[in-house]
Amino acid sequence: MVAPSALATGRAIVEAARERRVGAPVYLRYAAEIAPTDDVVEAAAAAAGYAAQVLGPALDIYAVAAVAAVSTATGRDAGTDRDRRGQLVHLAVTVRHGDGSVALLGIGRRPIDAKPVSPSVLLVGDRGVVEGCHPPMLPGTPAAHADPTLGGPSSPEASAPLADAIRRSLRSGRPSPIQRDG
Amino acid sequence: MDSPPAPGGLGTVYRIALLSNAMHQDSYARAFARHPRLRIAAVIDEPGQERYVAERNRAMAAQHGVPYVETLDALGDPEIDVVSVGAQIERRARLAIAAAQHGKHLWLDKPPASTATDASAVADAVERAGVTALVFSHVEAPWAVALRRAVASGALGDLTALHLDFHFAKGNTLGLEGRKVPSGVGPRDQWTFRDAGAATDPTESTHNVIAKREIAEVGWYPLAHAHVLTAPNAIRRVYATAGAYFFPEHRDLGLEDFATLTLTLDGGPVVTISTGRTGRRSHAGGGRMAVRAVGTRDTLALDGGQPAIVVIGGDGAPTAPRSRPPAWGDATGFDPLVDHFVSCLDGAARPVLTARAAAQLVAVLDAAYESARRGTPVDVTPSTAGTMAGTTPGAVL
Repeated sequence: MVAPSALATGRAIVEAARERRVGAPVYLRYAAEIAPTDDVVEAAAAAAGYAAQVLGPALDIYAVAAVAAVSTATGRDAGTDRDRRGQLVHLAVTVRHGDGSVALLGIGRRPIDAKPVSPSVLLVGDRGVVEGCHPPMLPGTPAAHADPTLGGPSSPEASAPLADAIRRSLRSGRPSPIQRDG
Repeated sequence: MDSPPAPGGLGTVYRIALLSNAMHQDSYARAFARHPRLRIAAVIDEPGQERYVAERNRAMAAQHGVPYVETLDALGDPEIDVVSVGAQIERRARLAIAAAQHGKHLWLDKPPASTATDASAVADAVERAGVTALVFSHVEAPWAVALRRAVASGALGDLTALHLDFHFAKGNTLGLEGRKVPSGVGPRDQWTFRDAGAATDPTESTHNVIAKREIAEVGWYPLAHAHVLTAPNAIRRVYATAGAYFFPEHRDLGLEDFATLTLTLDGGPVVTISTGRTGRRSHAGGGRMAVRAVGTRDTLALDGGQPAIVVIGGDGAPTAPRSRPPAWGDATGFDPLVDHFVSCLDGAARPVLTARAAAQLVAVLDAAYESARRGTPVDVTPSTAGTMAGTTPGAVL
């Protein structure tokens, strides 16, 4: 289940940007932790797709990763050196858009036993802001998870060039232009 | 060189000289005056300063009932224990070095110098003189201390990411036609921009500057938070974007009013920062101080600048900067930082942000400006990043 307030924030930001309610969009922040089994790069690409809905077409993407040593085994072998390998646990992504606006995205993998924390969502325009004000997760609250698309349209076809740019940036250590067909 | 004053002890009252009120000195002076163990002794500046600064110096001296002296010879006064350096950024390093060479302990405005080379020279002078130096930041604000304690407690596990959004909600921005992106990427030989009559303050700095380089000016605060939260891991690489989006003065002078930084650290975590001067409409209080700290066990998100009061209404920006009480009681931590400084003077603590650590942060600023200019990531210069000798991990935990 996706947190309803996060979805509402996502839609409000798209509408505000489209209608210029906070002036010209300058900056979008989206930071969230996704379900432990989800793919971080794919989720970051979905978030970049959402940023494109808000800020317009992306020019390039710069990505850096946090890699943690995680156990690949269970039981008493877990945590020993031979069972540990680097796993991408968090991506920080900078997306530059055509009108000079910028998105900072932070997509992490939520620890298995951790309770979800509401995503940080913020649009800064040159005449105001739209910001999510989410309640803390209370005991008994159904487990919600972050949706990097914030309820907006998303498709593998739309996300593929963005995921590709993220992977190329991770390999090169430099911003990667968005490559579009045609 | 004079000998540094011997460390005091409980009950010692330190006499402090205010060296120039060109920028933020009056704010520092009010906090010094509130502390029972500091006594403001004099206001000092070089002769020949712009009239606006000289007038502010005289006014501050009158306010605190102390003499105003226009000569740096006054730094040799043996009755002075501490010098607070509040000059323009262009003069800051030179004056700090002069005060250290007189054996005075230092309270330094931020950033302590305009380049990493100059900031390193300050750190060298401080270490040679054996004096105590602390660079201003917000890291002693109650919310920041609570965050550091949460991280140090292990409740979040190992930090994997820090995401910081730090914005000054100052200035009546009305939307800017013709944003300039990138901006702030030209030569950085000038930092202080005032109009000739010093009669306007569009960015609500309270010291009548037209525009500031906001990566250094506002960005200093999230950088300092990131530094103390991740120490001793060194910042090795910076990717920055910068532009003029809000203020015509920034656009016309080619300065950045908003920027983003992505930092790569030895041993992690990844750090992202947005920072700048975004206008009164951008926050219900004085400005966003939002941190999302992501760990291998849990995530913590807060806004240290969240106001305790929100007023809904009106049809535009407020007519003056807001002075809402922060929900945390104290968003910036002036008084706790002064208290910490006095403990350092006593020899009971090490400065949470030393001159050496600050020089490393200025090296990060240098790399950020270069990155914004090139449009690519830039490594922090090793010669200035050096070792994290000035870092005192856990010093206040």
